[in-house]
Amino acid sequence: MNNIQKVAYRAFLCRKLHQSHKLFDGGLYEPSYLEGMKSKVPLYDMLNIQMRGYDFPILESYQKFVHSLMKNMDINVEESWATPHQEIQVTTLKPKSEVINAQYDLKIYERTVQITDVVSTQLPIVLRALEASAPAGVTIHVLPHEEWHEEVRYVPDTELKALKQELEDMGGPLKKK
Amino acid sequence: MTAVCLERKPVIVQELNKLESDYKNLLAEVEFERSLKSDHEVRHEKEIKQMEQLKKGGDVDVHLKQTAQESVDAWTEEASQFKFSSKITEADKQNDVKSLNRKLDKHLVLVVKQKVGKDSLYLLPQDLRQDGETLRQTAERVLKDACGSDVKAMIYGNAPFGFYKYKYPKHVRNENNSIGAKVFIYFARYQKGHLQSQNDYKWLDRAELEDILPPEYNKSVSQMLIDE
Repeated sequence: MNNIQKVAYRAFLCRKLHQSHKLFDGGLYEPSYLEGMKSKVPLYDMLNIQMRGYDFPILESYQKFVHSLMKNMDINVEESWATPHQEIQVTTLKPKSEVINAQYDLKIYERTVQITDVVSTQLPIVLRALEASAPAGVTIHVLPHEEWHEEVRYVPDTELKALKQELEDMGGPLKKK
Repeated sequence: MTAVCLERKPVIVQELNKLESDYKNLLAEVEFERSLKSDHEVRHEKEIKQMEQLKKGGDVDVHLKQTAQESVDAWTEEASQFKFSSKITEADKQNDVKSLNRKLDKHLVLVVKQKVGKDSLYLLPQDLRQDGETLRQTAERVLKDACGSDVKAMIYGNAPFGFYKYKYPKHVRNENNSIGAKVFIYFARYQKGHLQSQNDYKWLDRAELEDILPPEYNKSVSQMLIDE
């Protein structure tokens, strides 16, 4: 009986300790409004809205529109940038031969708007607004942000790379003693 | 209860009214005047100068290649020969309510004939939520049941988009011990696939939806749809 009493007393003390942690939860070490300011609904971290199209002025003005739309919806627009275009060459051949009939050079331009901290219940509304407002000829992709999206923006220094490659071919840098 | 509003987005841009097309032309003109010269225009001007020089003095520079003007002529001819497909499709002419090719410039919403109480009405496909299922899972099940497994649709978000509540008539209330039902409407976007359904279904325009759905129901549904 004595043992049981001891264990019970110890358990009671432990409980008290846990309770005392709770006493310091809202306000002694950190102000409680910081906890209150956080959103109760999960947020999306970073989303990229990529817009691609063949027609340059339409794409640019649409990017401006999307930016102002996000601002009006109180969504934080982190950044918006342009990526270099992709060139597509289309050759039509005359029927049943390899003679070139016509050759077209098309360019697909791209713009991206990056938004952060979208409330997850708000995202479907954003998607519907984007779909409803998209002009003819512009395709929209909404993707979560990945590292390679940033890497793609940097232009590689071909001269530097060539020199480094030469150095490696010649046997690596000089080793000082 | 959960209902799914399956919508096919417009395939073609709607016809612009006069104000819109005038403004569009104005913007295009402004854009053209502000823009810099393209390669083609520079080449064209260079060739005009060369032609003038040829006429005055005897410039030996004879070009056998195609001049810019000639290529423009060839291109305009090719453009005039190209036939655009018509905006009004076969389904439009026959007014086939079951086909998806009808009214390419409008949103089409799926409506299924369902039994509610004694009458069978045209409503958005709906079903009771079963125990242990989230609302979103019910919505997916409703979609599968109403459309068959071939249809690919994307449901927007885990939260419903709209809701409609109604009270049961008195004799049903006593049977089920519940006052009424709440229908939570999920929004889905039709991507591809062929619809297979045992019940009668229709793909309807916004205006036709107003006619067919019961008035109270239509009020809640129309609030969540984008105007056209």
